[in-house]
This record gives sequence, C-alpha cells and structure tokens, in this order.
Amino acid sequence: MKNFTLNFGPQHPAAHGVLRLIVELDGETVLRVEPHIGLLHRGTEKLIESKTYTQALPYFDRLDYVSMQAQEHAYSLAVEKLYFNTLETSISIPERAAVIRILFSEITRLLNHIMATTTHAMDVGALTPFLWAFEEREKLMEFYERVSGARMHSAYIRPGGVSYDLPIGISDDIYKFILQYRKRLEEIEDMLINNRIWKQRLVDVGIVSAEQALNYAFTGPLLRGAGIPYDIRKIYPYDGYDKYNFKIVIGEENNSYTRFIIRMKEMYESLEIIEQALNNLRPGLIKIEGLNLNSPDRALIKKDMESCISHFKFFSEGFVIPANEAYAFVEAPKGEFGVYLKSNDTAKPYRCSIKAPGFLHLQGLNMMCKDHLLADVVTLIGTQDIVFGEVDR
Amino acid sequence: MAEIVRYCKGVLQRGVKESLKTLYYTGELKFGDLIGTDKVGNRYFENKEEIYGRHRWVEYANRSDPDPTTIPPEWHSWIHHMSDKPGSEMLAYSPIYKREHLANPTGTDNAYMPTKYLFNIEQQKLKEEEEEKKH
Amino acid sequence: MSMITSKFVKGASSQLTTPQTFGAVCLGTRNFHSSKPNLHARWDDQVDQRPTFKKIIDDTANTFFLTEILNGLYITMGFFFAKKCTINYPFEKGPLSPRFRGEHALRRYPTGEERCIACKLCEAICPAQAITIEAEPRADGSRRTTRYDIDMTKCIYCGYCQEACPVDAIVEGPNFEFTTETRLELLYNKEKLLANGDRWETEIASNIAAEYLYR
Repeated sequence: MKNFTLNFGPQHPAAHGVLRLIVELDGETVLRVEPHIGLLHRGTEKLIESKTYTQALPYFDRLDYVSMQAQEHAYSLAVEKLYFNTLETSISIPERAAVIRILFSEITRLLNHIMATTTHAMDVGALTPFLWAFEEREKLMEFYERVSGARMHSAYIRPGGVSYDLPIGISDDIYKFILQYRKRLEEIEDMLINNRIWKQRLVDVGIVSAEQALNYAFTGPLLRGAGIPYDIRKIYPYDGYDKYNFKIVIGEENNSYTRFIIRMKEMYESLEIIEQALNNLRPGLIKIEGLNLNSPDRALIKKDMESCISHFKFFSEGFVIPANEAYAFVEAPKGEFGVYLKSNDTAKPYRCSIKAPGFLHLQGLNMMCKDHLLADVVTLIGTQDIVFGEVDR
Repeated sequence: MAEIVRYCKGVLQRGVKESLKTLYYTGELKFGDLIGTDKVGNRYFENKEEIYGRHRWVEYANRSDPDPTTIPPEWHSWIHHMSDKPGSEMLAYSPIYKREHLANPTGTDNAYMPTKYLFNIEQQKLKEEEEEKKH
Repeated sequence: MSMITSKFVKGASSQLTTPQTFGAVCLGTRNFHSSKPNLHARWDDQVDQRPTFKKIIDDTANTFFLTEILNGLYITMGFFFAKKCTINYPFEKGPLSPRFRGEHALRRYPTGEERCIACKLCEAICPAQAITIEAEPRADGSRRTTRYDIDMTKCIYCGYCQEACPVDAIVEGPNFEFTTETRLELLYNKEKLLANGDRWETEIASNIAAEYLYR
C-alpha cells in the first residue's frame, strides 16, 4: 500500500463550515492531517479599525455564530476595561446589567453545547438527538428574540451594560424552560451515553494528555477533560461570577467520550447558574448613564437639551477613548475567547485582535488524528467543536 | 384520545368532501373557532387545546396558492403570537394615511423597481424618445 | 484563587483492560474495539471495582440482549406517538415579539407629515453603510430628504438606525417575508420605504406602543 492523499473538502456536511483538510492515508489509517483555512476570512479585524466601538459590535456576533452573546460579552468587557482604566474614578456596570449578562451568557452556553454535542452525534451517525435538541434551541432563540429583536445576531450585550431591559414575563418563561429542559437532556443521554455503538466510536479516539493539551494551548472542555481544573469563570471571575454557586466539570481521561459527557454535564451546571441569576434579578439600571457609552433614554431625548446633544454625539461620533490597550477574555463555551483592543485618542479602535479558541484547537488536529482511522477524523472535528466563523474571522 | 376526538370534530365541522380537500391543500385537519375574516378572504382560527405555537392558524382565500404575505398588518401580530388582539381591534391603530395592504409583488408586473437606477434610466430615455416622436 | 469544587467524570476506558494487538495487521497504537471487553462500564462507575459474579452475569445479559439499544429504541418510539412540535408553515407561524427587527419602514406623523428630518444619524451609525441620504429644503422651507435609500442587501438588520432616529422615523417593522426574485428589488428608495410605512403603520404603531417604555 502506498500513501493516498484525500481532500476532505471545503464542502462536506461533516466539516462544520468550510474546512479543507488534506488527509494522508495509509489504507484507512491517517498518517497526517493538514487543515487549510481561510475560506471564510472576512477581514473582521481590519474592518473594525474603521468603525467606531458601537459599530464594531455586530462583528462579534458573527464570529462564532452558534454562541453569539459570548463574543459580545468579551468585546464589551474589553471596551469597558479599556475605557474605565483611563478614568479617574473606578466604576463598574450596574448590578442588574451584570446579572442579565450572566443569564444570557449561560443561555448562550446552552445553545452552543446543544449544537456541539448533537451535531457531533449527527456526524458520527446518531441522527435523532439532533432534531430533538434543536427544538430546545428554538426555544432559546425565542428568548434572544424577545429581549433584543433578532433570533441570532442580537447586538444585545453592549459596552456599558445591556441595550434593552428584560420584557415582562420573560423570567417566568425562562424558569419554565429550565424545568422541562432537564428531561430533554436526560432523553438525549439515555439514547447515547450507554449505547455500545456510541462508546465504540468515541472511546479511545483523540486522547490528549494534560501536557499535550497545555502545550497546544487548548482551553475549554478539551483542557478540562485532561483533569486540569481551568475554568475562567472560577479563576478570573468577571461580572460577578464569583457570587454564583456552580461546579466545574473535569474528566480523568481525555478521550472524545469524556469530552462529550463534560459538555452534557456543563449544561446541567448552566441550568443551575441560570436559576440563581433569575433569583438575583433586582430592579435597577441596565446600562451606565452619564458617560457617553450609550445614548440616554428616548423619553429624555425629546424633552431635555443635554440628553439630545448627548444622543447626537453618541450616534455620530461615538465615545473617545484615550490611548490605552486592554485584553479581556471570557469562558466562551468553546474555550477561552479573548479580545485585545488598542485605542489611540479617537472614537475608533486603532487595532483589534481576536483570540479565538477554535483557531488553536484546529492546530492540534494533526496531533490528535495520528494513527486513527478516517472515520475518526470526523469524530475529532466534532469533539474539538470547531466553528469556522471564529477560526477564519 | 383527545386528539382523535378533535380530528373527528374537524371532519364533522366541514363535511367529508371539504375535509378531504383541506387535507390535500394544507396537510392536516384541525378543528378551531373562527376568530375573524379579513378583506381578502383569509379566515383565522384558534384552538387553545393544541400544543402552544400551533394554536392559531390561517386558511387562505386562495387555497391552491397559499401566500403568507397576503396577511394584512392587523392580523399579522395576531397570527405571529405577538399580541392577542384580533384584526378588528387592531384597526384602532390605523392612521388616516393608511394604504391598502399589498402582498409581496415580486415576480409580477407590480414589482418594485428603484427609479433613477441605470436599468430604468435607459427605459426612461426610451420612453422620453417615444413621447418626443409622438409630438 | 477561589476554591474550585469539581465533579469528576471517569472515562469509560479506565475500565477496559490493556489493549491487544489484533492479528498480524499492526496499525500503530490504534486498536480495534472488538478486542476490548466490557463495553457496559457506566461512566460513573467507581474505579478499582472488582468484578463480582452478579456484575459479570448482568454484563453478559446486557451484551446479548441489547438492553441499552432497546432502551433507546423505546424512547424513540415514545416520540413517535407524541405531539409533534413542527409548525405547518404557511398556515401557522412562529412566535415573534414586538421588538422584532424586520423590513424597514419610514413613518409619518398622525397628520400625514413625514417624520424624517434628514438629520443623517442613521446614515452615520449604520455599521454596513447601507443608508444613503441627500437633503434639501422643501418648497415650504422645511428640512426633508430628497433621497433616502436603504440597500437591503447590505443591511445587517441590527436595529441601530431605529435606535438612532430622534423622531422615530425609520423603524424596523415586523415583516420578514419580503423576499424578491431579483436583487434590484431589494435596493429600497424613499418612496418604497414610505409606502411600507403607510401599509404597516397599524402594526408598527401597536408595537411601539408596547415597547416605548423600554427604549
């Protein structure tokens, strides 16, 4: 037998976007996997340089398009860090804004893990949990739509807080969702976790030792599966995560099966956090007022001259941040998502650099695919949870 | 069990021939209260016992070519579960300059064409030349 | 560094015995699973559990009688008889909220006067630069636009123009079924937007009445 090079092409139902993998095979065993990326490159970082800080926000929704508000959260934290460090007094966003942000970050985590686990299952062959879980995803996107107006790219979490307040009745509906969601998760688990076919496909595929995971800069479930308890929500808490009571899920042996279970268990933990966040909601402001970070309330604009001027200045020029640089990172569902912003004295960022977890995970695909069979490549792309919006930007 | 009862009520409400036609055109038979009708002839039904999200539906006037854009704004919010007010109550919000609702005219002669666009400028010039020739 | 309480997830392969090479075809470190016993280890079994006689009998019975596969089939069969959640689209429609961002419309005052005063805030804030405005004094001296184009193919439907407008002229209405057969029809100009506004004002007004306290 001689080496056979296969193009696991950009158009492939299991390639999770546009991934071109050049796979060198010896029979059925993979010798080497070489990802070619850049087919979805949209020039995000360069385009952001010519937009104001508010105008740059919709770009972040569209980076990892299955977990939208996690990216917005990272960007908002970066802008706030950039701006508040230049002010003389130390301020932070209002408490209600922080609670709403955490609520929606955890809803985003549910959205992403549903997508990751069940599309992974679909690629491997289990076609039904995908459909059951996507009905739950529809319900979650209905929450996104009720609060912001758009089902997916919501532009809801903004620098300075949140754009609109929660409509009446949404907390009750989120609570009802939580009550029935556990049962759905149990149904999907019953289908898959003990199934011998599932175990045969996933156990022993993609074992990554802790040392290798740290060397390849894996974060998220790929790192936690190896036993390293690194969760940014616990170690570098942001927006009040240290007040919430939840466990992080780590595994002992880092194969695809363990990572699948970690994602399922993280969904249960997210439900706990959502319930605590709903209990923590108190009346209050939802965005910082006074600084030019958002426009004032519409009722004030039509009466008060200063608010009208502030509204006009905000929407035409934006807010000016003195020269500073900041890096903010969040525990996005896929790993650590970071935004580096550098400002000069203008209303537009001088440079924005995005650290996407999928980019680094894809680099480790070659190491993970060594000596596996061709069908395991599909399993591994699914377990690494690659979404091309953030890999290519 | 309750579903079978509803199904039979749907058949009885309409009669056998009509219910077979409904099954052909819409794909399912449902029994519901008629809430209202609009100018074009679409009929709006509701049945609270169905699963939430499927409890309001339309039967279009033109059965062989159901066009969801024929639903006028006063019924649009009702059918999309935005509000509970049926069309007759929503008309209270209508302004004095209200225009007749137009279904999506794409593909027909009524389709919207942006004026002052190159394609139309040529046509406009042709029209002007024809009119000059007439005079 | 805060105390981390964590849950441990045992990998199922910790139950499996040492790997065996399968026959003469040695393909590196990858092993075929059929050579490994005990696929019925549960993921939450305790490590170092000595296999008892009961466990061996249970595992053999599970292997031969396909227990967990039949359990999965039973769950799926349950869904066969359950109520389906699929919406029958043209006849039933999905839920929306008054905040929904759809097709744009230019509104008027209740007297019929158009609201837009050509302040160009929407043009300035649009992230996709989809709005183009030209303005001139009208015959009666008031400030109005002569040209107000929204390129709906560039628009990202973010809702910023509706937030920016100080007079509530440009709004994103609740209509999303405005698909066209050519791209030309999606380059909206002022007449089309005003006409949209006149047609959909009933619903836009009721949505704004439901939403104005939040904005």
